[in-house]
Amino acid sequence: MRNSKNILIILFILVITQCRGQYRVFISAGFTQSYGGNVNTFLKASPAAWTADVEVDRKVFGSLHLVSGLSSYGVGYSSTKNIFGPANSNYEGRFLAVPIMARWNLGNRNFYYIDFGIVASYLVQAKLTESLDKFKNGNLIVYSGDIAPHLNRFFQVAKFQQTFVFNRFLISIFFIFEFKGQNTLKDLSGHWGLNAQQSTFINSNGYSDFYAYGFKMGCRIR
Amino acid sequence: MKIRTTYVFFFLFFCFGLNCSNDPLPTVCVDPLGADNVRVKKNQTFCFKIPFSGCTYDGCFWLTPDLPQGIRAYKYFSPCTLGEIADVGVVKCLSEVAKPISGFTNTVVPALHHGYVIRFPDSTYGRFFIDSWYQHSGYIDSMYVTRHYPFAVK
Repeated sequence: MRNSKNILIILFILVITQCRGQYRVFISAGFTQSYGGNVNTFLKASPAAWTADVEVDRKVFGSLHLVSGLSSYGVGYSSTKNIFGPANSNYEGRFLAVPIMARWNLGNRNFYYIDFGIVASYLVQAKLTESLDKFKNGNLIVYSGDIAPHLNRFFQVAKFQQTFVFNRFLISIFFIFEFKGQNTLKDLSGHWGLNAQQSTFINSNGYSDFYAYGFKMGCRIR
Repeated sequence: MKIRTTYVFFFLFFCFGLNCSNDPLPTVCVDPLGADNVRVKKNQTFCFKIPFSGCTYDGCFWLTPDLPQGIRAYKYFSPCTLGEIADVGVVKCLSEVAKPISGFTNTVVPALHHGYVIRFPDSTYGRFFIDSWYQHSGYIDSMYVTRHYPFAVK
């Protein structure tokens, strides 16, 4: 499965670098709302995180285009308790990503695009804040920090996007989901003040298997 | 001009999104898995072993009420297990509490941020750590303890 995905990525990159069609550049910004983790975090929606994209679109043939570029998007959650008692847990992860997507320009009318592809994502920041009233005596201990160095940082994500274009301006809605089986945690234990019983984040096996949807607006600059 | 706009956008990416962190967090002392937290009041016992028929409170220790206060091994009824206790000194958290070579006794003096190892006749061990306490007129009114039983001694 992983090999086939890697081959697909390499194939896309080769096609993008080789194709000589006209290309266009779009910039856009918007917001992402994510869900993920396990029972403690799955339905804990995070405050919307900003997202920003630079997309380079190259025509391959007919109405098929290939899209790549650079993207930054955020995921996270905000949880107020876990099964072991009151515990606040807030996580904000930010990815730098390179999308490699196929774009179908419906009817070649440059009005409606449907994109689907893989987004290679690198975790640049992972801000985690957790607090625990260990003895339930009102003495709240707070732990906070950027835990990105203690997490796995490369993730493969799939993205589905619909874009409506009006002259140079565009509005997109998109849906992204992380491929299963990619573990978030690496060596966080020992560097985080709470153990797996006390930390919602560790107890949830990090923020794996997330998905997100979002909205963005932008324009074509080339 | 348009190419410059692209550069500006990339620059904004780096300014707002990509101050990538690579500094690892320092190693910290974390409570071991299986530990729990209890509040022990003056003249109250806290127990480590599972009760059984004929012994409602097994493997207990008692925070004595009178000065000088002590933490004393306590036998609720005759079939109950009576343990021994040793003070291992100041530690950062419960995970640093390791079995001492000697020093097991019946009673120890409670001290803040000290770790204690307990030993039972069946060669099982437990440990606890005094995280904080409330004092009143020289007495320990209540102490907040993180405890762990059983734990594998090295």
